[in-house]
Amino acid sequence: MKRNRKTDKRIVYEVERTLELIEEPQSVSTDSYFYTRLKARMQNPGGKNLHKRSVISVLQPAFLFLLLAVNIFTVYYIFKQDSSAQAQQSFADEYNLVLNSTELFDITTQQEGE
Amino acid sequence: MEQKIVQQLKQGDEKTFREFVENNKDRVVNICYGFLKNRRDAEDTAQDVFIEVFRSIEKFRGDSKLSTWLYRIAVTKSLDVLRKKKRRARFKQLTSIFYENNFESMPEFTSSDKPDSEIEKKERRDILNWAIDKLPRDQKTAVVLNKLQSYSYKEVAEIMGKSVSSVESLIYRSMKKLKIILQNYYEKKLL
Repeated sequence: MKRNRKTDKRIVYEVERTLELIEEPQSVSTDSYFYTRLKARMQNPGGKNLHKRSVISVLQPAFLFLLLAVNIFTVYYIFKQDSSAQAQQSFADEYNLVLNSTELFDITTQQEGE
Repeated sequence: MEQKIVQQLKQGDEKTFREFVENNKDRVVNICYGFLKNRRDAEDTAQDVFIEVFRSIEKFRGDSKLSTWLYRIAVTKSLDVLRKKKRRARFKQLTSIFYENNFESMPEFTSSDKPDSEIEKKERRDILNWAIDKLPRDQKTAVVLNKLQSYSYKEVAEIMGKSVSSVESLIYRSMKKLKIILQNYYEKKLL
């Protein structure tokens, strides 16, 4: 919709109608068990929060342990990869081999050419 | 009379506490509802208010009326709940940006053909509540207590610990700001 006098009028109308509602009080009423529920909550401090807290107290260390395990595994895996790469390299050096497969391919193509 | 009640509350008299709760529960729940707009949240918060009263009645020095002190706790607790709710909503919004690009959550507005229908009124009230929620803390408190809960300027001033003139000025500024918020809202929806 394009802004014109009609839309401006409509905006003013909507704002006024909405603001009129502020003078109408909003109220809710409580039932007769309010005090009973309050008393129960006072006798059982925490209630559902206590359950939530106990779940968190179990899950938090479990999550930390999992995180630690993942870290240890990652470090172990990296070292293992490094050492196998090192072993491959030393093997290749000893027998004068080229590890890169493309270079190997180049050698064979060279041999075919000869 | 009030001193006697305070004394008995300080002594942990259960009958007095029960009477105190029964006499004030509706007003406390309504104050909380004025801020939270959710009946269940309002009742939960009102319970927290009475628990707080029970625990900290020793600290009540009698500088104000007991009811004023009670309503002040209700306002503080409601604002705390509102702050926590907003924090959770912000976190939800942060996670939802991965799914949809909806940063601003605005209430719905449909141009109804029946202007006096209940649906239209409810919709309009939602828009008004959304706008009130956008006001700064003090302005919001003054509006909720004075406009939505019909407390006089004097009562609001006592609850908020301010002068009557500063409450008047807060309400004047908040009404002006509300008008601007609503204007912007309808401009976005109608243009």
